[in-house]
Amino acid sequence: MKTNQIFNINRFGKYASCSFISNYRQTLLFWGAIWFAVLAFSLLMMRGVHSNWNNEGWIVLFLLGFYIAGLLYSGFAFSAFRSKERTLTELMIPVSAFERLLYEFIEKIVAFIVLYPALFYVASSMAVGIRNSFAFVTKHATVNGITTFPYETVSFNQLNSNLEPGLFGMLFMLSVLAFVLALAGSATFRKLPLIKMIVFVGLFLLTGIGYFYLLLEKLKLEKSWLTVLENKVTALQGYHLGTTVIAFIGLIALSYTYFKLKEKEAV
Amino acid sequence: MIEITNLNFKYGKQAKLFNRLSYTEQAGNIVGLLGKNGAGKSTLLKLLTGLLTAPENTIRVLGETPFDRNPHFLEQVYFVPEEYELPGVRISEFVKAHAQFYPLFDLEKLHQIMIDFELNPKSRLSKMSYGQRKKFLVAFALSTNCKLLVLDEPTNGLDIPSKAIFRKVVAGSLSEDQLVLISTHQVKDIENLIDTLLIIDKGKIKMHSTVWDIAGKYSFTTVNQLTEGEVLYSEIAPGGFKVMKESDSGNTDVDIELLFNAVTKGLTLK
Repeated sequence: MKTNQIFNINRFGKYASCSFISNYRQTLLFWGAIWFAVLAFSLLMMRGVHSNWNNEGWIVLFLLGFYIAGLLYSGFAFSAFRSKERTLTELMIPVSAFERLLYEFIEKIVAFIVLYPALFYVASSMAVGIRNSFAFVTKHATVNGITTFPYETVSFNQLNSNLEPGLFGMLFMLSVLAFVLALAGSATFRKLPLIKMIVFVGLFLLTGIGYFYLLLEKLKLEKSWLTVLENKVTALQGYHLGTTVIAFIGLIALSYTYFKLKEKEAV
Repeated sequence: MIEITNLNFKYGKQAKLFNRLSYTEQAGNIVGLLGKNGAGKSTLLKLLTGLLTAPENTIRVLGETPFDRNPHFLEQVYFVPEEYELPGVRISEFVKAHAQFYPLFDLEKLHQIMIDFELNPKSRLSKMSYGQRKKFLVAFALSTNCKLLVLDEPTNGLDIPSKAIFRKVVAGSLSEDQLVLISTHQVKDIENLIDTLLIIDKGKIKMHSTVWDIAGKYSFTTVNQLTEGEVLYSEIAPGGFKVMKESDSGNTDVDIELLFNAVTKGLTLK
């Protein structure tokens, strides 16, 4: 029986299990490295009893790890395409380009966004447990003018609480876009995909910044489209507009990735 | 099963590799694809399996355009490349991961061929030698029961006993609705295996014929001295000359190496 040639859930399941069996060691290694890095950094940052690490400290570490690990993880998607021989084997697997892309999107971006906070929470909580038990600190106390306090586990409520409404959504979408661009780079370039993509995006951003600098600072265009837009929309509307634009760019990047996969050759 | 019509192909700005190449092949054959280095054997195999893009409507395989790479097409085609990289998993894990894609996969057949090749299912692919991995890939390819099996230099890296086992398992594992395309330089390894010869040279098909036809029309012998007239092609060999003549006394074994040299050096056959 001839099944749908673009997407078939059974075939997708087979591909997911095949990829998992072939790559689970590397995946476990990656997550193990993340766990260790979070634990080690947390312990390093909490080494002094005077430091005010709670609250913002956790969030900074969380976000830094989120972007660095996320970019590394999604930048190494389509790992078979790094070598000519594995590209050939990979392209002969009976799955469609869409199924291949969907799998990598779920594994490298969706799973990362879901798993990273959980792993961060576990690793940082372990670090807190280790530090508090070694420092024998159970409550806030001031002895001889020195304040000691127990460290608290990370609270993700802070991620959103200090931000203007709508800004969190836009920043979240921006991080998804960054991961999608890294994914697109890994489908496009065989060697050093992440670095090449960062250079490409960097050049693109520099051009954009240059354009706005010219518009606002050099030409002093008070009636430029940016100024007009700024006056017409509220901050919330602006964030929603930004989120939509970023999501649209992400969709374009995913479509581009799809066509790169569809036209991939084993030269 | 394979239809190529007026195929033109070149890599980037390089000279044309194939120039209006046309070729058809039906199921039920084991085809030996021969050509000099750089003649385009591997490229032709990649074009047939959809790993390279060909100009529109020039290649049809199993009724489909290979480069569309429809999963339905890929389920019926298995390609064993000359150079490959396999994941660092055990044989059993590889089989579990990949066999599920092929509807006609025969696990018993795989086990039997692995016994013939003396392969241990518990071995880790990354710890196996090049030849052992090649044997495993050939065993896996045959067990998929795909309609089109494409083997690029399958005997490279195989030891002498394994080459004989290779011929035995390939000949014994195929059905009438399958087509096997074997590209090789090691003609002796496949001499008694193939039933059709396809020789490509300078972008064209120089010869496409069954071994039976060739054996009926030509004879291949070794002589002490060359005699004028009847010899179509000859080469110096230990003990005299290897010669190719028009057949006068029934079938003889086809010396594929001699035939290949004759064809690529310009001999036109009837």
